[in-house]
Amino acid sequence: MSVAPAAPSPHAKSPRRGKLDLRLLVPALFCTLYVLAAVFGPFLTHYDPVATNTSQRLRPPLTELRDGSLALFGTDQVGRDLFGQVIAGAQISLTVGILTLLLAGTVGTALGVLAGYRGGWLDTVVMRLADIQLAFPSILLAVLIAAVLGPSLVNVILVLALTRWVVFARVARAQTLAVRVRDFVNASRTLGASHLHIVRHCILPAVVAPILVVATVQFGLVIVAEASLSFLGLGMPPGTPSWGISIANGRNYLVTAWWISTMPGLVLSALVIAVGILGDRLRDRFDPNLTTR
Amino acid sequence: MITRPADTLLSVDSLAVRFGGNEDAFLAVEDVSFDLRAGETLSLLGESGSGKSVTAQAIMALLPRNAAITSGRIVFAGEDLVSLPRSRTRDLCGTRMGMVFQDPLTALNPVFTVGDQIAELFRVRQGLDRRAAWLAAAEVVDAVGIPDARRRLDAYPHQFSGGMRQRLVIAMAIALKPRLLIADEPTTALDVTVQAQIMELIRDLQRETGMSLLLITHDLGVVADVTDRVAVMYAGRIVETGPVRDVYDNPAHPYTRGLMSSIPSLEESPGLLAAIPGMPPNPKERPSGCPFHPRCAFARPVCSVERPALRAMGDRRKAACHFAEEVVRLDPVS
Repeated sequence: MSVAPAAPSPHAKSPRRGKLDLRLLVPALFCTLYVLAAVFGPFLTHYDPVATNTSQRLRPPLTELRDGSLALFGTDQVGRDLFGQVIAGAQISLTVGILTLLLAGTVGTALGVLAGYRGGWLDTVVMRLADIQLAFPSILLAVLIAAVLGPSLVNVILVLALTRWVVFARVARAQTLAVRVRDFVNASRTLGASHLHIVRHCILPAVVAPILVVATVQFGLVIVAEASLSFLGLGMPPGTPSWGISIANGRNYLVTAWWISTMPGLVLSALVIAVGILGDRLRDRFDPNLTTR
Repeated sequence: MITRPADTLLSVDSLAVRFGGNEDAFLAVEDVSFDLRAGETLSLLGESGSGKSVTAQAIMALLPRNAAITSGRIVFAGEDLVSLPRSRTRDLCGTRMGMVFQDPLTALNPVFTVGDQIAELFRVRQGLDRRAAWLAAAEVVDAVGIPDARRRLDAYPHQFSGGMRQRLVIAMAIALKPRLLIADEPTTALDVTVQAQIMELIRDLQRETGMSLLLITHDLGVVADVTDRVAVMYAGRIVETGPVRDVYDNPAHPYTRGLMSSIPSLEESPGLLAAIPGMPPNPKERPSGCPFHPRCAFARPVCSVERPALRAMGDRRKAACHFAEEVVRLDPVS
């Protein structure tokens, strides 16, 4: 996740355009770092995240191993390198996060726009469904479905998308309702525009900005959700170096080898915080209420 | 049934539009009938809430979700728009009838350049290719008096002033050469100096293309200059209609008379402006009998009991007042 390109909107006034906005730049750089680590990390380090080495188990961070390499984050109870695990975990977390948001965002936005634009029974059905789903804690729903589907990358994405589409649908619907009665939409109508044309040219451009902001905020939540599911053994299959699984692995060694759970935990927290701040800043900058008015 | 002249373009016949659901439903427009001939200008005149905009929305199939046409016909060039399938109405929109909106600030899509929006029209509706559509857009933008049209096509709506934007809205409305232009308070949101320019533009375009104009306004001054006939609306009904000079000089309905005498005069010494006492009735609780009787200076007992029909006064005028003959004989206003 780097900075989302701003739509050329006349009202997206940024008070500090030109000046460096540190509160936007720092989290953005931080997120970029994670993306780089996930994409290039496996090529740069020779650490194999799943290779066990029982003679080198439970080494604390910054230990020099017998083969001369440095265990930056230490090793776990079967001698797997934690730094390698964390980087491989970044790959999983970002993949899950991005694909989940793409899926949930597309489905949710489509349903929200459709519900808001068509109205009537379709609106009622979609939104009541959303209300019902929101009444359950989303992690509970995720646990339930994940338990049925079984652990795998695709299933995690499906499950998380299923719990997240609601947020996108609600925002898209609200925005659609606000835009569809605007004069320029009526004007298009009097010029004979088809529904598809109105949705593509009038509704969607207005929906995109708030949806992007929602996506940034949701990204952190999805990553935490994936880690939670994996921690519970319902997310990624055991043996994959997901952050959640790594944290779970260290549970029995919290007293003697704190780093096994702590390192992936820190990395996870840092990413979620960075994404959260980034989302907040983006929302301030491209406030949906300003960009559409 | 009145026989219509052969060149009648638009004929609205006993139109009624209902708003709201079961209990709180009310008729925003009731029993509205008028004809518009080719090339003619008719003004629908009335204050806010009188139903003039709703009438226009009904014609353009723009009624909001909670509104519906409950009775009547809207015959445009031989086709009844009320019973026409939506796809056919959409064909007519733009190519046969166009609409100019009240607020040019909101009537243009803010996320596309002006050129994109207008060229799109030509591409989608006339099948022109990109280049030809762009040239056609430049032509129509030039026609509404925007200087340096070709260069300005690349600008976004917010980069134009209010008056220029209204010109753009008009450009889009007339781009496909409609035979009927509906202008819903086209000058209300503009500066006074710009108002005159816009009305002049509309009139020039009408002269060039021979299109009919249905002008919806509460601005009595705008009406006087451009229109052939007026229809005055009050509480969802037409209360008086006729040639503009006759109606202005000798109103046959007390409400019209009240409107005319509320125009400030340049000649007379500035005193207190004449106003019609009271407020327009709540559409859910319209008075019995003549809806205007609680505010009417000429009201008599019969007015609160019996609603006056819109009846002919001579061959070109109609008025809905029990005492129209008396009202019309009063001294001319101002």
